[in-house]
Amino acid sequence: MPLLALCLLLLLASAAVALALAAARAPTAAQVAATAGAVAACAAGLVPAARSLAGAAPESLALPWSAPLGSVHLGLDPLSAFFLVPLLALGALAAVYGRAYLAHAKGPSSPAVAAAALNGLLASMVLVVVARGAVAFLIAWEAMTLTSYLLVVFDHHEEDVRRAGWVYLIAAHVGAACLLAFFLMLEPSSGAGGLDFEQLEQGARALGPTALSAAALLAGIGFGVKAGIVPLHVWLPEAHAAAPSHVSALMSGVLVKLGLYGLLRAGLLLQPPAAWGHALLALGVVGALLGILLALQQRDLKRVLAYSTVENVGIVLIGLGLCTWARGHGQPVAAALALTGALLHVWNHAAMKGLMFLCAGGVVHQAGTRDLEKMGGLLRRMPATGAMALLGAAALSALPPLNGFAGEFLLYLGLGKVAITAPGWTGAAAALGVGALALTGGLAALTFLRLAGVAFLGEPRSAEAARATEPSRWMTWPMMLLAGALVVGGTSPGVAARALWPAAAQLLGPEIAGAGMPPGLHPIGGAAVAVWLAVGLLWLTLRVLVRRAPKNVGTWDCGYAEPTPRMQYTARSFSEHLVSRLLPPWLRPSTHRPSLGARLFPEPARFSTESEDPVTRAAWRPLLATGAERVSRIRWMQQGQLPVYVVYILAAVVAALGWLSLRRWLWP
Amino acid sequence: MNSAVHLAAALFLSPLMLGVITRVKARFAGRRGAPLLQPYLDLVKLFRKGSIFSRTTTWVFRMGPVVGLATAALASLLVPMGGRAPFSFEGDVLLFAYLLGLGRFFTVAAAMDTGSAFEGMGAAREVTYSALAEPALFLSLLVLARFSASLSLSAMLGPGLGARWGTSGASLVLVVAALFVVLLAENSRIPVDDPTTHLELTMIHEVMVLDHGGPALGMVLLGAAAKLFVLGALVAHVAVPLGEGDPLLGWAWFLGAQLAIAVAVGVVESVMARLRLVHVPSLLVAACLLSAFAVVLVAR
Repeated sequence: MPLLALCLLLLLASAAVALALAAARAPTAAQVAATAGAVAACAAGLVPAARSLAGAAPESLALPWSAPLGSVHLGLDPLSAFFLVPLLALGALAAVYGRAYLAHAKGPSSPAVAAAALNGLLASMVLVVVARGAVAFLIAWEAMTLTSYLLVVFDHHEEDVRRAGWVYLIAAHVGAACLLAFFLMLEPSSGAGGLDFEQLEQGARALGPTALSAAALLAGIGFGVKAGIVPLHVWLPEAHAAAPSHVSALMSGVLVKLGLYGLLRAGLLLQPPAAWGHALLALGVVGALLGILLALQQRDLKRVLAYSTVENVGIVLIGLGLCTWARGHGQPVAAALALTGALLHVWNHAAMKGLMFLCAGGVVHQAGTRDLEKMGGLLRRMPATGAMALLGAAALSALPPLNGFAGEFLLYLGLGKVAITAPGWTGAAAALGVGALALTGGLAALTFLRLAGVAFLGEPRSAEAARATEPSRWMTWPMMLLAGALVVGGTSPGVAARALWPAAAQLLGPEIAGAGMPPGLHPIGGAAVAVWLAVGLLWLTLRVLVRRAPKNVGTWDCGYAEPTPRMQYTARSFSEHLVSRLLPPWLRPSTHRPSLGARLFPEPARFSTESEDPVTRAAWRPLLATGAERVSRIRWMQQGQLPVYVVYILAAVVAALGWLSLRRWLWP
Repeated sequence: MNSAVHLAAALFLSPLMLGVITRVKARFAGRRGAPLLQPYLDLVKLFRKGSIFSRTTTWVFRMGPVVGLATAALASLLVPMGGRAPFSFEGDVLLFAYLLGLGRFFTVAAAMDTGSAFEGMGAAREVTYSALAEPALFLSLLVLARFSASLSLSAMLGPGLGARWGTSGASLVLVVAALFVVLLAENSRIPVDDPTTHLELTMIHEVMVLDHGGPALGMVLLGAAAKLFVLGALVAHVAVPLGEGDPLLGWAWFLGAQLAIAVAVGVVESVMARLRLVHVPSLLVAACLLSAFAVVLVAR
């Protein structure tokens, strides 16, 4: 715990130093100070996190706090440590990468302030994970939203970015409002009246079934917004695409996962009945399929990755739902498998998506575009970044010998266990879950082959792509560390699973966890090694067999002598067959076609497609438009004059006090 | 020892299946056909030839054939061939499916590495159709897993399957049909793809390897043959279940069943035309539905 406090202190102090240096017009020094502080803090914080996962007893720390609702209570248990590990590891890499990434940023924002905001974001995320009381939790949660908002709107001279930031802020606050209500609902009516999690747990026991369901719904919305659970995911692709790439990596890898952390914590408080497993499972399947189906239509490199995050959160939810269901139906092995798989996937996804966003950042930084149709041939021009992006693409397609396979393997095992043993419709439902996961895997391969193939392979489709070069080594080596994690995580998945088992055991409870960790990953590691060996061996064989390879010959284009880069298959055409033939119309991007031939002479025409999120298009936009229309009737309340607002505040205080005294008078 | 036999079978016997298919098709067309061992001669020729690599390509292009062959060979160690597989563990069926997925990933990446419009076209089709074939494969395998209460291929395709034909024949018929469609689609056979067509615009697998030549093309051919062999082994064990017996009898039975599958593929290729590309998904979705019905039948 002292080291964790040091970590928090270092983050905040370095952020303050950076801000002071930025004010003193020393931006480079400010960036370096913030980055050094972040790296040192993350190193300091990783030690207690690793110790907690290695079996150290849970620690806690209570700080005196003069505000109402008790002290600030911090604690470190395996579940917190489980989320701290990717947070601090990815945080340090993102800080190092971000310094180089933003060093020559041309926008209106100061890189030094962004570096300070990144440290603030890291500190608030650490605080979210270690908070043991609702007050500290909510304050940290809000600080996390605000600091990440500052980072998302780094390029606020672009209108899209401002819009994305606005959407993010609104979504996050809707979620925060639900969380506030959730915590207040759990407040025990009798007793000390504190909002520490222990007291909330007692409060949850006292709730009736209806109130419990309402609380679960509030928690689901509040945390689901952050986690990007469909249909609450609409802010996610906008914000991830708008933010600087290292921030996208951190958001996708960790911040979104903190929504899952909240769900798990709420699960510990509420002790959900098994029937809720069905709801989680259904949400997971819908999220996984919708996420990947939208990912494969996107033209924007970072939006592809963002929608894939929605998919992966769906996959994790499938595991959590299955675990909840299986616990209540006497299937402890399936529950343990599903939860271990889901948690392993959280770690793996943090590494994979972190790597991919950093690679995407390299491309954006060097080629100056996020548009897949303007890329191509980048593997020849940025060999290290390209190779790592291909590695990440294969991992995100859940292919062995990389780490993405291990988590999904355990999930499949858990689903399969239920599918082959459970009678009746449950078995059939689990089997269909396997089918959905398999389809998601196939579509993920399509998505990431499209991404890697169009961006990195073939010939460049624009002059900027043709001129791109490898980014600086401060940007490549954080990627290399993550790429190494993918390889190691693939060849020794058992190590990662053992490391996170204490967190899984804490969630499963002693009666299931007592049986020990479910076996199953050992052969996967062996198989990964076998794949590397077999590929290496055949690679050498091919090198020996290939003789006399003439240089400088072009691609055989079926007899056409002058192929141009424009003849290559584009990102749009790559997924055309699936999108325009197999998807229902409401899932396709909306197309504005020019009207030709209506008049005698052709008029200027415009063709454009817009990939607005179908959930926004079909649900949120009409809903919010109607809501805005209704609300406009009380617009007269906004007068824009300070005295009027003072009157409002006074009226609110008087009303609240009046209600309190009235209540005491009516029900003494 | 067993692994060496499995590897040898997948690598050295698989081209024979291609020869048998070609011979069956020739007989249907009223020709004598190429020698049964022609694929071997082709391979030897290719491995001795020189190579040409386009200036657009990178290491990914060479990785395609290498990974394709490596994964098919490794998959052959997981699938039983007349007896137990050399490596079997709970969940090996997932590894089997994803190994083939890895091979496909790099075959497609290699195709896109050439920057050719035709190869990109084939790549897009390959990933689209295989994504649709994936649920059919998994659901069919789940039916078998439910029968054996195990997620290991050796148990799922083990001797117990024979008795199931008596009790749950209907779902097994559905499974065989679905798996056969998956076999045809994964190996780019008629009615999904025509391996002998001469129009690049209509190809799937063949157009992806247009630019490969010499030893690399040899590896592609061998990898494709091995993939046909391992997927064929899957179908063979379900369609013609084997009782307990001595290993030699098992092998003889297994090779006979594989030959029968090659003949069946040849017959299908002879009696029907390739589907229009836009209709291929219907076939694959039908296979998914067949296997889903089978699941419902056994879980009921």
